[in-house]
Amino acid sequence: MNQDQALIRVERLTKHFPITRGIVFQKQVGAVQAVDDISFNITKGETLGLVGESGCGKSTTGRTILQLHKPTSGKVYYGDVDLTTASSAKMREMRRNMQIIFQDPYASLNPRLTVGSIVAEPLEVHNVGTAQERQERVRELLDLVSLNPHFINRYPHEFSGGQRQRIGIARALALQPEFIVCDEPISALDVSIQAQVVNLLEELQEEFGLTYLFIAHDLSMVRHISDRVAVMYLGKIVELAERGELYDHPLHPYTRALLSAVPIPDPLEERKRKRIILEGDVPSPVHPCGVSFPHSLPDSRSDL
Amino acid sequence: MTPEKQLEQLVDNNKDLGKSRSPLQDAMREFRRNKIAVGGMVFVVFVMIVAIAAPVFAPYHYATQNLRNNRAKPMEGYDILVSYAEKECHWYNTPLEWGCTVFIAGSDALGRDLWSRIVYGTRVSLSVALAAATVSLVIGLIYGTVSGYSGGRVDNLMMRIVDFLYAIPLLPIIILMTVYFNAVSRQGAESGLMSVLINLDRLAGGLLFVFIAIGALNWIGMARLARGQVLSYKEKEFVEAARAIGAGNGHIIFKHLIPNVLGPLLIAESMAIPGYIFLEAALSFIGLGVTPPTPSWGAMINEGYSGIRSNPHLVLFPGVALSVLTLAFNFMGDGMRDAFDTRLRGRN
Repeated sequence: MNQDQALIRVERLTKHFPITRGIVFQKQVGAVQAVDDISFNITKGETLGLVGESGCGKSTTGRTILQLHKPTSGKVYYGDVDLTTASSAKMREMRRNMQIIFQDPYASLNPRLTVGSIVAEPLEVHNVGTAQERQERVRELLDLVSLNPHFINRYPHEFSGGQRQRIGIARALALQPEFIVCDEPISALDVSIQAQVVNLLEELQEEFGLTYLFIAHDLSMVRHISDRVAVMYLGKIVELAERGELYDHPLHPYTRALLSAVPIPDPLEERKRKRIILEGDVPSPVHPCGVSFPHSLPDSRSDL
Repeated sequence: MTPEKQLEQLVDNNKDLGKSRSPLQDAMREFRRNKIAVGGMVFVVFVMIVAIAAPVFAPYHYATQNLRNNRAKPMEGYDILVSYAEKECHWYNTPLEWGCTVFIAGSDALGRDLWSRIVYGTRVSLSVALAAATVSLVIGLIYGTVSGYSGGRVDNLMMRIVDFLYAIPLLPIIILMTVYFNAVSRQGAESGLMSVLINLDRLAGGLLFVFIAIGALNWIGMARLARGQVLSYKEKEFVEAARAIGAGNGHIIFKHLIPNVLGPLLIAESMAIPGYIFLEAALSFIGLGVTPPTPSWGAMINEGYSGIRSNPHLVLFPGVALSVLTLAFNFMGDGMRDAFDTRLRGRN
C-alpha cells in the first residue's frame, strides 16, 4: 500500500479500559483490552470493512480513530496530522473532516430537538453561515438523503428507523467530511431497509468521494460494500485482505469459521453448507491467555 | 356512536396530520385526557388566582379584629357596628341596614374573619411551594449536572457530600437556627450578615427560614435525580455524536443534557410540592413559620386546636383547605408523570 495515498493511518493502536476497585481510593485491578495493537491504512476513496463478533473491539476501534476514546497507546494519522497528539483546537478543526454514523437510530438523535436543529448542529458548532444559510443547507442535506425537506420541523420520534438513520447520515454529511466511520449503520434496521441505506451510502461515496470505515457483523453486506475487509478477533486484526481474496481464500481459521456461518440464499446450496463450529468460548478480554486463538478446529488443517 | 359523530372524530383526528407535535405537545395531549389531573390543575390555578386577588375574595383584611365577635360560628355574627345592642345576626334573617357582620367561616379567638385568613393564607402556601421548588430545582440541577457530567473522582466526592448531608437530621438544626435568628432579629442588628438576613426575612414576609429549610432539605433528592439522569444521557449516542462534531462541554450540557434532564426533574418537583406545603404548615404549627398576624394554614390550625371541641370550625376549615390543596397538587403531579413517561404510552 502506498503511504502517500493513505487518508487514515493507524499504527499500533491500543485501547485498554481500566477496571477499578475501591470507592474512595480507586486502584486499577485490570484492564479490558478492547483494542490491542492494531495497524492498518485506509486509502482515500475506499471502503474498509471491519468485521468480527460482538465484543471484539470493532466499535472501539472506530471511536478511538475519531478520538472519541483516548487511545492507550499508538498513533492515528489523518493525512499528515497525528490525531492522538493534536491540540484540542486542532482536533476541533479536524473533526470537520471526519464523522460517524451510529448503529442505533433511536439513541443517536436527541428526542428534544427537531430534525432541522439536529442536522444544523454541526454547522452551528463550527459557525458555518448565517441562520438562513444553515436552514438552506439543512434542506439540501435532507433532500440528499431522500427525505422530504418539509420534515425540517418534525421530531425524531415521528420517523421510522430507516428515516432516522437517514437523518443521522444527513448530520454526518453537514460539514462535507472526507472520512466517515459507519458504526454498524444497518444492524438495527429491517432487512428491507438495509439495502436502501447501504445504497444511499454508496451513492454518497460516489458523489463526494467519501472514505468509509464500515463496521458490521453482516458478512454479506460487508462483501457488497467494501473494497478491503479486515477481520477482528479479540481486539486484534487477524486478517486483512482485498474483498475477493478474503472471501475466496480465507487464511485465518477464524475467518473461515466466520465465513462458514454465512447463510446462502439458495435452499439447495444451503443444505450442503458446512459450518465450522469453534469449540469453547472466546477468551475474556480482561485476561487474554497467551495463545491469540485458542480454539481447536476440527478440520481446519486438513483442507489447508 | 352515530356515523356523523364518527365522521366528526375522523376529521378531528386528521386535523393535525400535517402538523408536527413536539414531545411536550404530546405530553400535554396525554395530560388533558386525564380528568383527575386536569381537575387538580384547575383547582391549583384557581387557588393561584385567589392568592393574587386575595382582597377581592376576602371580605376583610386578615388582621382586622372584631373583638365582640370572637369565635363566631360559621355564617353567624353579631351586629356591633350600628346599634351595639347585640342583636343576633344570622345569614338568613339579617336585614341589610343593620350592617351586620356575618362570618362565612366563622371567626377566630381574636375576632378575625376565618375565611379572609384562609384566603390570605393561600399566599403563604403558594409562595412557599414556588420558592422551595425553585430553590431545590436550581441547586439540585446544577449540583447534579456538574457531578454527573464530571464523573470519576469529582462525582464521587460530590455524592459523598450529599450522602453525608442526607444522614444528618437537618430539620432540628434548621429549627435551632430559626429560633436563634428570631431571637436576634427581635433585638435588631445594625450591620453585618445578621442585618442582611433580617432584611431578607422582612422581604420574604417572615418566611425566609421556611424557604431555606425546605430548600435545604429537598435539593438533595433533586441533585441525586439530576445526576442519575445526566449519567444515563451522557452515554447516549447523540451526546457522542455531538462530541464527534466537535461540540464543547457547554454546548453538550445546555443543548443535550439539561433539556432532557429537566423534564423528570420538573415532574419530581410537582410531586414534591405537596410535601413543601405540608412542611411549611408543620413548621408554622410548631410556631416557627410566619410571624403573626400573617395567616398561615398551619399556624391557624395550631391556634384553633386548643378549642377543637367547642369551636371545631377553627381547625376544620384551614385543615380542609390544606388537604384539598395538597391533594390537587398530588393529582396534578401524578398526571404530569404519567403524561411525560413515554414508556407508559409506547413509542408513538
